[in-house]
Amino acid sequence: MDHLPELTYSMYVDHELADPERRRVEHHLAECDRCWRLVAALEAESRVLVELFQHFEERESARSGIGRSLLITVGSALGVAVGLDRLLVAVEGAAPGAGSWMSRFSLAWLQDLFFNNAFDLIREGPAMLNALVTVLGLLVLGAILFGVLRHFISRHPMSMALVATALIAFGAPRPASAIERRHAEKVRVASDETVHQTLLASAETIEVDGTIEGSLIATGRRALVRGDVKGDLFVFAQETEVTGTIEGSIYAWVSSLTVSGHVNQDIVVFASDVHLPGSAGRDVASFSGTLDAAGTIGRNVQAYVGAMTVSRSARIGGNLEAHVKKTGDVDVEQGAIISGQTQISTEKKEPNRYATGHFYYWQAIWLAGALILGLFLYWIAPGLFAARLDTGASLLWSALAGFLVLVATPIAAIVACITLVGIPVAIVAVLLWLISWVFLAKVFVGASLGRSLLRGRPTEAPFALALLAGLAIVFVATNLPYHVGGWLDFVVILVGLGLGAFGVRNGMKRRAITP
Amino acid sequence: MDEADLQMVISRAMNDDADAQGELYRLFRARVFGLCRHLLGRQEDAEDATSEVFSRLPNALKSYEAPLPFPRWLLSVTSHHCLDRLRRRQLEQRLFEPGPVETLTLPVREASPLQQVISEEGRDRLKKAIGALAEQYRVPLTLRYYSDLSYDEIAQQLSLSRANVATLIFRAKQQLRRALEGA
Repeated sequence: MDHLPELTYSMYVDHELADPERRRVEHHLAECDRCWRLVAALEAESRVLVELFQHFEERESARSGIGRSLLITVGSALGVAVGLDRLLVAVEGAAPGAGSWMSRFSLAWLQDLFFNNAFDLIREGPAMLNALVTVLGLLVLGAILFGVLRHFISRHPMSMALVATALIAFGAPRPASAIERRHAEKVRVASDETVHQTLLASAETIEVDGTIEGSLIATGRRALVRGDVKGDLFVFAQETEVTGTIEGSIYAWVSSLTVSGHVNQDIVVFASDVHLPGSAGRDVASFSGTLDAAGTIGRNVQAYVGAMTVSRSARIGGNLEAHVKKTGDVDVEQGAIISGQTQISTEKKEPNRYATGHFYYWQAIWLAGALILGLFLYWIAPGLFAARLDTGASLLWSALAGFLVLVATPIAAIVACITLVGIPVAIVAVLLWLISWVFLAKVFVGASLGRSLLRGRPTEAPFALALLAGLAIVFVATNLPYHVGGWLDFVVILVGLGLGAFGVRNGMKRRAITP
Repeated sequence: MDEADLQMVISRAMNDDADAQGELYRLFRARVFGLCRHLLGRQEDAEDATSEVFSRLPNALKSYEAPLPFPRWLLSVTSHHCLDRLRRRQLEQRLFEPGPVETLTLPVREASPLQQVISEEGRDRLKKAIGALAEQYRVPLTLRYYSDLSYDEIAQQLSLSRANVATLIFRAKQQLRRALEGA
């Protein structure tokens, strides 16, 4: 018996054989077990292919919802940026910029915060850039690690168990050795009780009458320390009162703090109201609405406050440095002793930049400039705008490419220029080059954003409209107050440079992208 | 939406009703996009092509005739459009050179590795293998299994003979098997 070519079977399975040939195949299959199995396999293969193509459609279309991935990407990036920014401010702590942020939620307070941060930005710009690069690096590293892990897991399903085990092993709380945890409605350390380690207490009310040989970390509504804490006191509570002794420092984030006992070292507090009738061995830094210093403070007092009183019983061993709205907000009573200097600094009243017409005027001019530049570029080289920003991956790649362009090219340029035209010319050239690209970056990101947002519509939006919409978003985003605008600006520059680089590469190849 | 409703929407869309055109977009975007994605291979190209297909739809609808099922018609418009793009991408080269038709008898095998593709992992690999196929194999395969076209219809779209199409699809599957075996 003659086996038929496999191609014939393939056509048979696809119902593409003409009748006489089909009958020949069926006739053969009836008596040839081997070919029958082959045809069964080919049929199964066809089913898999049909199902796979359909399956593919569902997943791909779900993923490419209109601008959704973009929104998620931008949203989460914004979230991360804001989160990091807040963290930075919190860590910054004692730095002047973070000053009054716990005091009062008022317009004036917001304004203060803005100005402080704006100064920070100028002063600490390089450091922030540094931090940003570090964060970006870490993110990239994380992404790569994640990718490798994912690849590994998808290849070896069993490894999932391994990874899960590892995660649990690392993530699970280890048996506490140096920390004792107590969690209850009310946590009390009785006067005859001694805790031999650090106590982590979370409760509605925390009362310490006894002795804690480690530190006390307390979160709750109310914390009362009447006993003795050998280490530091970290407290996050609405109301905190210390009448006992803290041999270390107090770090408090509270609504009200009263220290009538003794603190051997520093007091650092973010609060609404702070009363210090007791004593502090070293410095006091208070970021609060009100501060009432009535006791003894060994060294300096730094106060970023709404109002403060230095009572007649107060003894300050060092300087008093108060940052307030106006001089009258500090009341130093007669009889109070301040051994060092008293320095009261008030905020300069500068107009909010968002409140001046000037600001909008210039933004409008920049926007118009960017729009014209973008349209011109699109007119001479539409391929420049071929690169798209739709997925997190494209965002990341663009940012990476942008980073390279931003860092590597000027270095190369300088090296080249120094040898050819001399240092001053080289520097000027590189600066001009950077500035123009930084501006161009906005144009690229704007175009990309606008197109992605307008893509969901049945008819393709004109480029000018997309560019305008995108640029408007970019301009608003990069002008957001606090550090957010600055961060976004940096991201825009990186991504835009990357898009530009991709665009230049593509632009050489593709003439036009819209019909 | 049943057949009659769809016909209503289509006839309204043919009369330049923007709402009806939007409705068609909502209904068929995913299918059109899926086809573009398979034919063009690249996500961005597929999105561009999808929006082009829909932006030209008001005009194209004039050539639509009722007895033909609309989804089938739309998919054929889409594949024409994608093939145009592919040709442009190839710098006006002919995509499908009609080669010699396969006639020799191939060794008969027992089973196909493709049929064992049931696990999620296997599917991913197969998907990648499809994406990696040369255009001349990927396009007929897609038209067959995604658009559900017959060999004759595919041959017509690609200006090839029916036998050429059969060979290309057959070779496409062979390549997929080889890719899966090699992996």
